[in-house]
Amino acid sequence: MKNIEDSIKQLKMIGPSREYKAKSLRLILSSPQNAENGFSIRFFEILKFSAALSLTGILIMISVSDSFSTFNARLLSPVLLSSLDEQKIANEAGQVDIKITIAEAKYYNDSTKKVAVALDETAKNGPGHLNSAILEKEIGGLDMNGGEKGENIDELLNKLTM
Amino acid sequence: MLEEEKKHIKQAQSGNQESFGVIYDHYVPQIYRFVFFKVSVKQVAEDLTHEIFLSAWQNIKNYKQKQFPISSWLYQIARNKVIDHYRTDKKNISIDTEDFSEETLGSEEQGDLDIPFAISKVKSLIKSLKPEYQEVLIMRYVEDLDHKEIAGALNKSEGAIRLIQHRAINILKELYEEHRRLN
Repeated sequence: MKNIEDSIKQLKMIGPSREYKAKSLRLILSSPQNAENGFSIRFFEILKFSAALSLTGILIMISVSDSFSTFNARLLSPVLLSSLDEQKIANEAGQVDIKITIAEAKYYNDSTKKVAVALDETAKNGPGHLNSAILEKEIGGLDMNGGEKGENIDELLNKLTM
Repeated sequence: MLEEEKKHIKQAQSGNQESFGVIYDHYVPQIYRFVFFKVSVKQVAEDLTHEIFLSAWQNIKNYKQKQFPISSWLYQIARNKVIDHYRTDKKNISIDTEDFSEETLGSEEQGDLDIPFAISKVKSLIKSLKPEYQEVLIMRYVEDLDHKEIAGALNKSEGAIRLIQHRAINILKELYEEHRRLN
């Protein structure tokens, strides 16, 4: 044997005899052919196609409904709208900063004016609120007994305690 | 043959017996060999080959030329018939009982007395391979089928067929070397 491929090719010598071939062919051709199985083949092809089509349809519907519900949730839900939209959150945060800055500026502006007036008055008249004569005058002006209003208050307190 | 073969197939599908006869004459030796390698008994190989071509004649109207060559279609029928044969008749035939008489070798046999012995040796080595390897080797080297035809017959890709062929040849070489060392 030269090599294995050549050895295998020797097997070509095996074959059926002429008598067998002739007899077998004669018998085969004497039997009728089957009718073309067109209907069942076409039926299964149609079935396969329709199954594939419906599966594709279902998948499209699932994907479309999924994306649509996500869109709806974003559009309609206030919670999702405010909490999930990063762009809006950033905008809101920027606006708050601006408002705070404006309020602070206004406060500093007003207080600066008041402080300036107070300092100016203090510089001219001195610290009047620490003057003992003025303080005594104010104390004297106080109605410690309450007067008519004081009596009313006493009555009300008595009613409550009774 | 290809264009002529297509014409014969079309005519056989219309019930033309002569055209089917041409197809039969062309393919019966290789289908017979394929079956014979599988069953190892001349009588069984003849019966199964007859059944294969009978089935082909009866169902040729359902064969579609666009899908794969008719050789692949015939090999598919042959494989199914052999499987059915082993399902119904589970006799285990030993290599020793194989039929390698001059009658089995057919009309092309040249009368060389050593040939049956050599064939027997090669065949016994091939028989020790996996069935898939055996089929590919026989189709490729004995029947000279191209990879596409073998792929069609065995429902595999051409790449898979090349790989199986490569592995089968390597294993067979090893077995042959071992056999030579022992004898």
